[in-house]
Amino acid sequence: MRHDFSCWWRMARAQARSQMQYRVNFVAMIISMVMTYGGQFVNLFWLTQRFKAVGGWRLEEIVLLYSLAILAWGFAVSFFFSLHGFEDQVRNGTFDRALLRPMNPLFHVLGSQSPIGGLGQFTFSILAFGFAFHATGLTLTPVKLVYLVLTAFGGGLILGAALIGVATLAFWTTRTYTFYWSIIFPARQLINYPISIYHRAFQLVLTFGVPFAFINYFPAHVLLEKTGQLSMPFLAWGTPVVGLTVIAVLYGFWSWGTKFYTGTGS
Amino acid sequence: MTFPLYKDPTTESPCPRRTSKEIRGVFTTMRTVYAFLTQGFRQQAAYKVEGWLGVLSGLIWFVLYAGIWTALLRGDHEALQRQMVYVIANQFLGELHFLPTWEVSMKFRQGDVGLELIKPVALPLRILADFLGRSLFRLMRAVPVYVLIWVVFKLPAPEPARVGLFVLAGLFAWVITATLQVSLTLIALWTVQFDEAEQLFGIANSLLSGALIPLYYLPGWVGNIAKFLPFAGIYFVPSAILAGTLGGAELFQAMGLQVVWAVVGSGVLTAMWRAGSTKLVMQGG
Repeated sequence: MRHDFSCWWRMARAQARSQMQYRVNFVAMIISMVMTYGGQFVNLFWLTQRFKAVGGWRLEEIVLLYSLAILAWGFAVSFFFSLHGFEDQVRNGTFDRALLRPMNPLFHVLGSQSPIGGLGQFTFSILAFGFAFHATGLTLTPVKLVYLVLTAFGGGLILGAALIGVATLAFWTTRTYTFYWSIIFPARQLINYPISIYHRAFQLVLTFGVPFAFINYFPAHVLLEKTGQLSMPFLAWGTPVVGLTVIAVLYGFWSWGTKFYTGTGS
Repeated sequence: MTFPLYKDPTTESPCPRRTSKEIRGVFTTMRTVYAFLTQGFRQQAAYKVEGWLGVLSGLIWFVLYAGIWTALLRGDHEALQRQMVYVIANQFLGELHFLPTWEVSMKFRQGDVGLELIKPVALPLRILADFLGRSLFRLMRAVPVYVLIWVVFKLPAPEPARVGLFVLAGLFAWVITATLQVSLTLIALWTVQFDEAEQLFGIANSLLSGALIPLYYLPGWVGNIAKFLPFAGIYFVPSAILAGTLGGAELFQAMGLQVVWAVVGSGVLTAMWRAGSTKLVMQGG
């Protein structure tokens, strides 16, 4: 495990160096990310101007939800996003290389991307946090800061697990992009708003099925000091545990899936 | 590598009077366009898993929009019903507006476009026909799903005239968004990578087209400006027609503007293709 991490770290650092060779491109990517998320913020701003609150949540509270979601996504993009293009490695047979090297193949795949890809997401979420904390008048105590970091880590793992799940499907079908864009992407949008606005069935799915509610909905209750409103307040502390659990489960799925990899030649 | 100007016999008429040969040319072009349309339709039908994933995806988006508007309009039953019709209309348009321009960009980046230039029907026309065929298949999949939702939610039945106008406005909507987006993709004829233009279009579209917020729920000044922009014609106008929130003189003005933007979009696309196909810088050339 330690060996895998150190190999991954070397590969990822080299990828970061190579990404930094295209500095204009890199900066353009950050700007375009911030603008895309900014666009969603403007939509939300206009909605709350007209209707004051969405399901009892004011603008700044939803922005907090939103920044938590983007922060976790920033982690997922930084460390797991190579899985999004994994179907190409299966289709072209380049995954052979990962299997032949003396390290964990998953880490090899993860090492094929730069670990600073999430900088646009981080930039946006820090700005959004600033706004949300300022507008709600809450202070960021050291305890909350530690909680925030752990939560973002857990949330990143939850989204990373989702990416692992989609990538693993590439061993059977080679159209996993469609799975991501049809299912995971819209499911991620669901948590931009408090999940209490959806039908109870969907709330249960987002809590116990695809546990995206742990990325931001439950943690936001802790940061806003209103865990009392939850029917199961202990869930608000569960994000890191849920993150580790789902990543372990999906890693099992991935390991099982690699057995079905057949390469492209004969 | 520069290609000689590609002359399309149907558009580059040297004399104003059309000879029988040219008229035959128009028919040939139309037949080819139709062939590409049916081809696109069939191609989409072939991807079974993708088709069902598309339906599932639409349903997730529907849960999102329905959740938001139910929370916002909880106290006003009639406004909520109208908004639900609006959301369903948007779902139809979303399927229709499926424009996989990234496939075209890929062609440019890999240099396959060189082969496209030697074919006798202009590339944009073929792309549009193919996209429309695929969209129509997606739409055919989506219609029963949302008609069912319509019934389950006990929404009032729409007047037939409104349905007719919705279909017409939806067609204009498709022409606007398809011509503008393919035009943006054609920027690749001059520079190899320029995703930013498409991204900016996407952001403006998400804010000003009524894809999420109907223009009458936007802040007054934004709504007043957005009304005149091409984006309004892409989602808002057709959906508001079906929802019954656009009528009378306003409706005619809105659809008139749709026609104007559809013509502008087609003009831009034609002009860009004519200018761009002579300029093309090929990967590796």
